[in-house]
Amino acid sequence: MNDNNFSDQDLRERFQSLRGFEAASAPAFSPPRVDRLSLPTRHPSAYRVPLAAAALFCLIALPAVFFRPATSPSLSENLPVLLPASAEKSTLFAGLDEPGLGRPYFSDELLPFRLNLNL
Amino acid sequence: MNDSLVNSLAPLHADAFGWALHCCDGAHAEAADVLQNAYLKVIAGKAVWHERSNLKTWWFGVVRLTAREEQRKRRFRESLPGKILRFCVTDDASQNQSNTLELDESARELRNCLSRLPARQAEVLHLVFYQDLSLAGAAEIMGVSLGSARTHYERGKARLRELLPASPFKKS
Repeated sequence: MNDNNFSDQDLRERFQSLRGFEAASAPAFSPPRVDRLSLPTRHPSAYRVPLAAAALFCLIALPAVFFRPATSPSLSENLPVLLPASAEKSTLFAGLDEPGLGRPYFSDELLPFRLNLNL
Repeated sequence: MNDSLVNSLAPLHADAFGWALHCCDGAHAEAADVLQNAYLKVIAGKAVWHERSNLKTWWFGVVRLTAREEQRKRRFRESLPGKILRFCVTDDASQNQSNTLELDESARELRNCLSRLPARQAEVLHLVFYQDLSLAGAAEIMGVSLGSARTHYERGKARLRELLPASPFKKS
């Protein structure tokens, strides 16, 4: 590792020196003219390999598209219906007894006014 | 339209060649090819300047992308599938003669040190010190954020100082 202390200015001078050399060796500005442009003619056999690759891809991809396994039903279709769709036909909590009409609940026994304490 | 744009690139030609040379690791013939292909892109309308950025910044971005494309093509040509393809296809791709430029000692040292830096660091140093661009301009050409460019710049400078041997060029 060097311990030289090149300042930014030193680095810039080095780069500018390189720039001077390279600018001197740059080719003359001669962009291609439109009228001299010609499309490169390719031999017909140049297309053989890409076409073969495309055909191979189709052979592999088409069975995968057409013979893919049936997709499993969605989660919403799988879940059972807990409540009927129309709320008017059945009331919510229809399976529960109305209080006071049926058998008292077990937890009612814990209420203070049901407690009979013999002192 | 495209011709006028190409003509407006004439003052930037020498600098653009220097940038192409940097993108091609100093290979003179490749750099010339890259620059010609970049001009072709402009003439064919594949590269269009929308005047959203500085002309030099835009043009250097085009040259950089063209150099990348050429490198990819060359790597593919040199790879096994590329060799097989060239063997199958009778289209002979011309071999690029990558004759490097004859430089003096100091310039060659700098070129060697730059080639040992990570690509981003070398790019940002070239754009700032060689092309006299701002960090923002360098970031735009490189396609990175300003903060990222600044980080590459600082790290690149530190690494370059370590790599560069002390020489009579440096004033002591």
